[in-house]
Amino acid sequence: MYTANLSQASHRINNYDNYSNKSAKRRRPAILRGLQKYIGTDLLYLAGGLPNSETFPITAAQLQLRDGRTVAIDENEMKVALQYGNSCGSLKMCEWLTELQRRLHDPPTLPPLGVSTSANSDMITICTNGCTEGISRILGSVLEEGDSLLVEESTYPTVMNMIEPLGCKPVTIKNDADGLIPSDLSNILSSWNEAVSGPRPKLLYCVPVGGNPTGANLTLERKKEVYALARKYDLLIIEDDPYYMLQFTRPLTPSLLSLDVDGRVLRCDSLSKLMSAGARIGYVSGPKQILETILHWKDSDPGSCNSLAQTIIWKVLQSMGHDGYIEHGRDVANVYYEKSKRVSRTAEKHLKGLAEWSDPVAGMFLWMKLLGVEDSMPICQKLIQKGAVVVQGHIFCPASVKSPYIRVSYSYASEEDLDKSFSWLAEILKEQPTQ
Amino acid sequence: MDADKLPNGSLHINDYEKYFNKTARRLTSSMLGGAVNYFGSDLLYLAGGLPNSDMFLITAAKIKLRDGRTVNIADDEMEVALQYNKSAGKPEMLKWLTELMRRLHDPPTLPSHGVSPSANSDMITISTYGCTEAISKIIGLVLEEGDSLLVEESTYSTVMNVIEPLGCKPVTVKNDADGLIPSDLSNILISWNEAVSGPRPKLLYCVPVGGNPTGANLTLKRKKEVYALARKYDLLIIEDDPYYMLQFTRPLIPSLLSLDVDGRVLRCDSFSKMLAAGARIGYLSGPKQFLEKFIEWKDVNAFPNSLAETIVWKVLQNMGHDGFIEHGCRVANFYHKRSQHASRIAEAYLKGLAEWSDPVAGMFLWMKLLGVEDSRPICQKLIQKGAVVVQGHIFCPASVNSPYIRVSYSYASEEDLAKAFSWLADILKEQSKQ
Repeated sequence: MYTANLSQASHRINNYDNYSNKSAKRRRPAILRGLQKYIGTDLLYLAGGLPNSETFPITAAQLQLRDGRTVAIDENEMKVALQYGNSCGSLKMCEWLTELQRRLHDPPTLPPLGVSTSANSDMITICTNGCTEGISRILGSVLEEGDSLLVEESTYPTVMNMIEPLGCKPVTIKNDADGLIPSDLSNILSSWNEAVSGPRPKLLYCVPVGGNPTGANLTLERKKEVYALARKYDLLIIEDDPYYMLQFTRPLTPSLLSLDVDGRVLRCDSLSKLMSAGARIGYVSGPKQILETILHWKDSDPGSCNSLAQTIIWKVLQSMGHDGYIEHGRDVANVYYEKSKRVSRTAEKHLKGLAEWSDPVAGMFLWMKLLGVEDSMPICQKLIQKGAVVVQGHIFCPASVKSPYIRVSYSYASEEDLDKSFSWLAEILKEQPTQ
Repeated sequence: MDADKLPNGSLHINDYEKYFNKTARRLTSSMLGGAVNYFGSDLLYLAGGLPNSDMFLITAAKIKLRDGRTVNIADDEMEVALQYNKSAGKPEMLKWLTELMRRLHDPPTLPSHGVSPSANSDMITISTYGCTEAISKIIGLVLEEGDSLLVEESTYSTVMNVIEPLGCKPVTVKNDADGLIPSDLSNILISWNEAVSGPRPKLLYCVPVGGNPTGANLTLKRKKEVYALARKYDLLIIEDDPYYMLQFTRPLIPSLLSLDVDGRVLRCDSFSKMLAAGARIGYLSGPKQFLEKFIEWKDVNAFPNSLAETIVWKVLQNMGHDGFIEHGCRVANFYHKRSQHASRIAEAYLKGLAEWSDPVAGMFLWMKLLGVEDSRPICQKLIQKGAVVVQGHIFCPASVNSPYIRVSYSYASEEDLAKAFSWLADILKEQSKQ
């Protein structure tokens, strides 16, 4: 529930300068962007580097949908689609997404409908190129050389590729079948020694639903504990949640954003698993001050949202409405659920006693521990020779050199494929010398 | 031109590590990316985080073109369009673009047809989100805190927004109606004093065609002088060229890339002015080693937009190279006519009050207001009267004030221009009375 009277909400973060790195503090709004407020007014606008859309060859489009319907993009809409846009994305889509967030998460920092955002911690929503861009911008705005990023013990490896160029290191928190373990996070933070480990962490990164690679969900109880720790140790939280709608049960587990009374959560959502990965549409919801700095950054790279891809996806979203989108999410979750049951069943058939795993509760990954194995990499290589590709676990585990785990994706695999792959894996494991 | 015909092969850059900053040197290939090599092979692929595209709701599309034709994106093409794809960009499109580059620029570092690039300096082409992304990431891979970037005295303002957060500063090179002035560049580099100005510059940024904001073209003669200086002082060159096809005359002036025997040029092209600004598609051509580093960076924050790329690709495929080049001529003529209106109307109202060189490419008129030190108050008064232009100082990093304004004529009707220029004339006449 939003608290309009900020004097009652003294827990709200007033100013985010403490979390901004040197680059972020140096970012200024682009003056050219400031002049755009005159577009569409009565003024003659001779200020923009807008190419004349009469020279663009595309005039309109028709999209065919899976249910047989057609969605049209008419000439006026296409002119807008083909022209430069702003950095936060199409305003209509941002509004729609904001209302979706309201419906799904009732964020404490989101002003009521009709009330403008004003406080630095008020929630706004901006579009990004998937969750990946969102995470990257946040890290690039907060972390300084030598800083640490709190991550789960098994996590999305691309984040390591993001923090290394910044000269930062991961600090891993144990996780299990219920997500990251709050008591371990607490230990790490209470025993932090700056002389040894560098500056205290400012940022926690987690994938709380259908964890990549774990397929686990962070329980609501643990989310509350994590949030309490974030308050105690003054952390911001990147809630990387591209599989949120792909939870196998309903109602959906509430998000960290729904608990966010202070304005600590930067929630990264994505349409990649539900609408299109190639359209590169994600959205970040979080404190106005931080996201506005990120928009200044986006103004200088790449300078405009992808209006074409956004228009196409927006027309489909618009035709679905929030209800239709939520229903679609449920349909997609069911499809992945059936696939996950099949993979668990097939794994049970071939790998009982040879491997251990928790059944996925969301998303598309099975995270499997190979028993009696220290390093899954040779196993993966042998599996490739037999004819199947899985991912060796150590790339997800920043604190480990070796890992006994493998990650199996079941989004595409047929029953036959799984049977073959798991039987080959079983052969390889049985051939292993016993230790 | 092949590598073995280089007149001075010993200057061919062997290794680009020395140009890379700390960030660039720390980038590594994404390990998840390695598994993708097996995708599409006979192997059962259980490695990808690829969402199942049966869940995506769009199955096909028809794109209507201005000439009445329709381009179809069939089911299998749409599946690819809606899915994650390779970070360098759509392979068929890149192949087409490489051949376009060969045709337009005959780059010295581009291997012959059929020969794969192998040397670090061999030219490859990758897709970008447009020139702005390309510039921003190139600078982000080269400059360290405290470094300087060589820029034209009047240049694309966004570049300042890129370098300031990095703690870098612009060093301005004078420009005029023929582009940047090589003798000034030479003076700056000869007299560089590291104790005073910090590390010697490694990078030159320029907009050599239809300069933003100047509307000027860097002549071929000057391009050769600039390239010779780049060789002498070991610079890389960002050739930011979104208006290349919008030159008002033909044949097109050869690019810096066409002179690039060493592998120094990072050429940024764009479809924004010709096809679709909103599709955010450009293409970067340059040394393989450098661009591979660029791709490593894109791998962690900016995968290509396969949907937009597919749509643009279908249109390009439909046009062919000939059609694309013809389209470029038509677009150039379109802007040429508009530039002529703008000049004529400016002459009618502002003769004696302002000075300008007629644009030779692109969409901007760069106008000096006579007897004015700072154009900002003039711009504000013009807004009050009813028209918006851009104050010159934002394009001039070395100046606090500028007497210039930049006028875009891409959309303005003759009536609009007449109104705007007559208001401007009124304001300037009132100024001179004071």
